[in-house]
Amino acid sequence: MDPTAEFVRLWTRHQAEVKRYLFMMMPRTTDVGELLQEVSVRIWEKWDQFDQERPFVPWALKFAWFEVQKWRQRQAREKLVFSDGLLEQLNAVYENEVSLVETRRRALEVCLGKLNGQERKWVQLRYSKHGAVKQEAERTGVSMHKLYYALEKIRARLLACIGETMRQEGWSDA
Amino acid sequence: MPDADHGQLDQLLTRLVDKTITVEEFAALEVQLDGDAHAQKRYLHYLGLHADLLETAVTPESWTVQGRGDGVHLDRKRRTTAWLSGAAAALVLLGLSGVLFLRAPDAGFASIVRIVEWNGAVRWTGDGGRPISGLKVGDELAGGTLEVGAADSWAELTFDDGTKVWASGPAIVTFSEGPEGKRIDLRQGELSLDVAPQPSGRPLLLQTPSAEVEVLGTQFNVTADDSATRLAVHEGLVRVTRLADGKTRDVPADHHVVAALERETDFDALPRGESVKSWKCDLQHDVRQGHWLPGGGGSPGSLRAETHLFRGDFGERKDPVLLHSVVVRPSGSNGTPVLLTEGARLRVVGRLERSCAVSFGFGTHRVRGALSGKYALSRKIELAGQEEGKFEIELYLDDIPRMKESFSESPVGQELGWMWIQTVREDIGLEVTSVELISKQE
Repeated sequence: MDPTAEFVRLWTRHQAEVKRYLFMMMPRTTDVGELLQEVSVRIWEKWDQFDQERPFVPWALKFAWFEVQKWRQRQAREKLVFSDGLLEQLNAVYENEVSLVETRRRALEVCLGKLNGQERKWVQLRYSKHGAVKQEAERTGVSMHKLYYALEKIRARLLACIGETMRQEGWSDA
Repeated sequence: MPDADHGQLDQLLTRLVDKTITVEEFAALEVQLDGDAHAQKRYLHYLGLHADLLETAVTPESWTVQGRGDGVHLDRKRRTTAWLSGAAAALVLLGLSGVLFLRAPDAGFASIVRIVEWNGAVRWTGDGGRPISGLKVGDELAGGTLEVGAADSWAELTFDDGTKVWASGPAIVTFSEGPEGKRIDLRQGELSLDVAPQPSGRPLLLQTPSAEVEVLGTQFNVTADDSATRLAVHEGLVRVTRLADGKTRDVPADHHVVAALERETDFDALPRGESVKSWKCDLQHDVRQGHWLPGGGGSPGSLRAETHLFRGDFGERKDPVLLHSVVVRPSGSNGTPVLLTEGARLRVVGRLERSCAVSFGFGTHRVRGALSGKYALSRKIELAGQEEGKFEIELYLDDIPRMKESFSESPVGQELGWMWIQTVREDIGLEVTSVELISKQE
């Protein structure tokens, strides 16, 4: 396949995974979009070195990790930024997790189907429309705090369900 | 580790993803994570779940139970995002390729058009598909494709016979000329044409995805997208063929027509209505750029900013920049012009995820005429104290500066062509819920 077309194909398919990784490394910054652009440019510059026999995402994440380190150096005085040491630990753990991302996502689909109607509604409010949680709180008289607490519990249930679903599928370290 | 043991960590993670975490809590989170592989894994799973839910945008439609009844479709937004990502990736490539394969303006080809003026995100790809860099006003070009990438960008070109074409972004248009005459392919966007009298039997042909227009000499404005072509004639006469069924209509001066791919739409040349001084945007139908999000539960629908790439001025800028834009224009079915009057103001209501600078601008037409100007400014939107990211801003027309000195200092007396609202680089979740032009009397 034409190398340019192959780059577009793989980047299109996996860009969201790189973005997800950046978000985990720098959860309180608004720089993710900009770094994602940087990563795409760096990957394209080195595209002739990509071994098409190997998986794309781990290779792409090495460029992303490099950009995270450069970004971290520029954030020396920021308080809502993880330390270099913790970032290295998270990066190491993520390297072991990356192959399970799609499996976890499929498990999430199953688990969302197990929520009851009220739980689904709250998740939908939180994730589908900006400001909808507050509107719902005002409409129903339920406090925002209570709604967000409910969401915290729902997320915990979903995580437990995802882990259980994966274990049932034979993943031992889910 | 049992889930119950994650209680305190989950509380911090909830505050992290809900963006309410304090500096002290963030420090506490770091302490919990440092050196604890189980906690780090929980952190990655928690944020991964949050990212998946954001990514998949759980909409009412997406709660459709699948197959055995125990799953949920989640790929609606992911497909859209992937499509956008693909487009962005392709554009990144185009931008990068532009850096790698730039060449000088056409040599060895017969020129057909000359650049009169351009501004912003404009790009020319010549014969052979090669991007051309270093273009300047006065350069003469053989046939090729003009891309005007952003709503605040434009280009004016002339053919050798004096025919003028003004392309306003976002637009993609290809120019060619041969023994059969001039040909313009407008794939999308808005053009304003002032066509000099053409030789008998060799009309200028304008092709869009939904219509073909024969022009012998006239002034008209045309807007096209994948599904419809809107054309307003100010002088002369044009013949429009609707490609969906081959029907033709002659459109005289002061008339307009819509040629849509779906044939139920009226295809008649109708007089343009009297101008109005106020305008309330019908977001769903007046959109030129942006994604329509239907409302629900008493909430209005909105236009979500569409991401596209700014690749620089004629390829000179090497770093691609993402723009996140909503572009709307008056497109009332009766073609009613919207007149900009003294003391009028624009009111925009929308939402952002956080405080940031937002650009507002609009393009104008001369009354019953061609594109005439662009006006724009940037405002820092402060969300402090605002309800769930909501913002509302009013901009008096006279406070919005022209983008070039050749434009009239004030837009008053001109017709509103289109309006854009956009953020630069970062996607701040811009959504627009209302756009209005309010006259002084209101």
